Amino acid sequence: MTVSETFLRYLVSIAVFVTALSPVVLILLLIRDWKGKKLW
Amino acid sequence: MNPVNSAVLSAEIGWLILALFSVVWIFLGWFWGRKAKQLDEFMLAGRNVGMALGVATAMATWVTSNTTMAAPQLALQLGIWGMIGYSLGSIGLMLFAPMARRIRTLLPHGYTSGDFMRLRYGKTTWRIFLVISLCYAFGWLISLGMAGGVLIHALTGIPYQLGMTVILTICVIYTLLGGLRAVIGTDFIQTILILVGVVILAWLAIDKVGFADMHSAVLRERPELLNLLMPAAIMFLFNNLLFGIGEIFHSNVWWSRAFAFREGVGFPAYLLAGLMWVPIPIVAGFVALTTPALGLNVPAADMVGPMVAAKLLGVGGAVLVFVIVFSALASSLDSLLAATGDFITQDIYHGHLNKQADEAELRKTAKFVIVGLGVLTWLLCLPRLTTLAGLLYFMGPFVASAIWPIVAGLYSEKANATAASLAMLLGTALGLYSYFAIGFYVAALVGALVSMVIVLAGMVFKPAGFDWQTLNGRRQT
Repeated sequence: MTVSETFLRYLVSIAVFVTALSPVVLILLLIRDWKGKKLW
Repeated sequence: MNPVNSAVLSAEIGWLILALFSVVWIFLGWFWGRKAKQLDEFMLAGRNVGMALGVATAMATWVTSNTTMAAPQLALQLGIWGMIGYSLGSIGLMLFAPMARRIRTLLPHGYTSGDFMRLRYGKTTWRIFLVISLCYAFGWLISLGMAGGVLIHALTGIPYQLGMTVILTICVIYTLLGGLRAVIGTDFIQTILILVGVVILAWLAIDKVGFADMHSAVLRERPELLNLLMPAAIMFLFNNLLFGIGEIFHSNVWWSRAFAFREGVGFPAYLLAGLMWVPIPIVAGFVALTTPALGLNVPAADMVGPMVAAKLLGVGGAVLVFVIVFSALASSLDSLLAATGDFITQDIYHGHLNKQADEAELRKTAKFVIVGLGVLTWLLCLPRLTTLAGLLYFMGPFVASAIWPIVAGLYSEKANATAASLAMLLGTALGLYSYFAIGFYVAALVGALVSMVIVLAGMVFKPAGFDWQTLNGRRQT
C-alpha cells in the first residue's frame, strides 16, 4: 500500500467515524437540555 | 467513460419529496413561531437558546449546499488537499467561540454585527461594512438558490428555474412564520438528516468501490489528485481557512446566534460545532474520488456529488442525496434570510430610513424584508451565471478584509476607525485584483494580509482609546 493510499484510507475512515458519532452527541445534548428546561 | 443521464429520479418522485418537506418545514415554522410576538422573540428566539439547539444550528448553517456539492467538486479539482482545505472552514467556527462570549457580554442588547461596527467605529466604517456584508449575503444567497436549482435539475430533471423557485419559496415562508425560532428548530432536524445521510453515502461508497480500487483508478487517470504537495491545493488550503474565518467573523448569521444563545452557551456551542464540522467536507467530498473507478463522465463539475451517489446507489442514492442537500440548503438559506432580514431591518431601515421606528414597526418591516430578499434572490438566480465554487470564492476578499477590523475592534481599545475603513476598502480591492491576476485560491489570503497590515499600523501609530461602555447601550425604539 502506498503512502497516499494509506493517508486516504485513514483520513476518510476517521472522518466517517467522527461524523457518525455527531448525531448521537446532539441527541444526548437535546435530552439533557429538555430535562433541564434549557432547550430555548 | 460512460455518459450518465443525470436525471435519475422521476420528476414525480422529486415533486413528492419537495411537497413532503414543504408541509413539514412550514408547519414547524408556524408551530414554533406562533408565540413570537416580541421583536426579540422573532429576531433572536428570545435570547435564550440552549446548548443542543445552539450546536446544531451552528453546524447546520455552516454545512451548506456548497459543503455537500462543492466539496466533491473541489475533491475532483484539487484532490486530497481540496477536501482537507474545505474542512479547515471549521476553524472559523472554533475561533468564533470566544468571540461569541465577548459579543454577548459587550453588547447585551445588540441585534446585528452592524450594531457593533456602528458603535465601535462610527458611521463611515459602519457603512463600508454594510456594503461588504450585504454583497457577501447576496453572494451566499445566490449560490444557495442556484445550488437548489442545480440539485433538483440534476436529480429529477425538473427545470432549474422551477426547482430554485420552489426551494426559495419554502424557506421564505417558514422563516417568515417562525423567525429565528423556526430557523433554529428546523436546523436541528436538518443537522441530523445531513449527518446520517452523508455517513450512509460514504459507507456505501467505501463498501461498493473500496479504497484500493478507488486509489488505483485515481492514480491511473488523475494522479495529481493524490499529490500531497500540489501547490495550488496547498494555497487553496490557507485561502479557504481565511475565507471561512472572514465569513463567520463578519456575517450577521453568526452574530445573531451569539446574541440569541443563552448566557454561557456561545463559547461551548461554537467550539463543539466546529469540532464536529471538521470531518463533514471530507466525508461528503471523498465520494468524488470514486468517479475514475466508476467510469463516470461528469458534464458539470458541481454535479459530481449527486451523480456519484446516483451511480452508486441508484434511486435510493438519488433520494438520499436529495434529502441531504435539500436539508443543507434549507438550513443555510433560512438562517441567511433571517439574519440578512435583521441586518437590513436594523441597519438600513432603522439606522438610516426610520430612526424613530418602534418594535411593532420593526417586526413588521423584518417580515417585508424577508419576502423582498426572497424575491430579489430569485431574480438574481434566474440566469445561472457561474459555477458554484467560482461564485463562492469571488466573495473571499470582501469577507477576509473584515477579519482584522472586527477582531481588533472587539479586543483592543486601540483599533481606530480610519484604519478599519481603509483595511476593508484596500483589502477588498487588492484581494479582487489578485483574484483576477492570480486565481481564486489567493484572493482571501491577499485581502486578509492587506487588512491586517493597515489595522495593526493604525493601532501602533494612531491608537484610539475606545470606551467599552459605549457598546452597552440599548438603541431607542
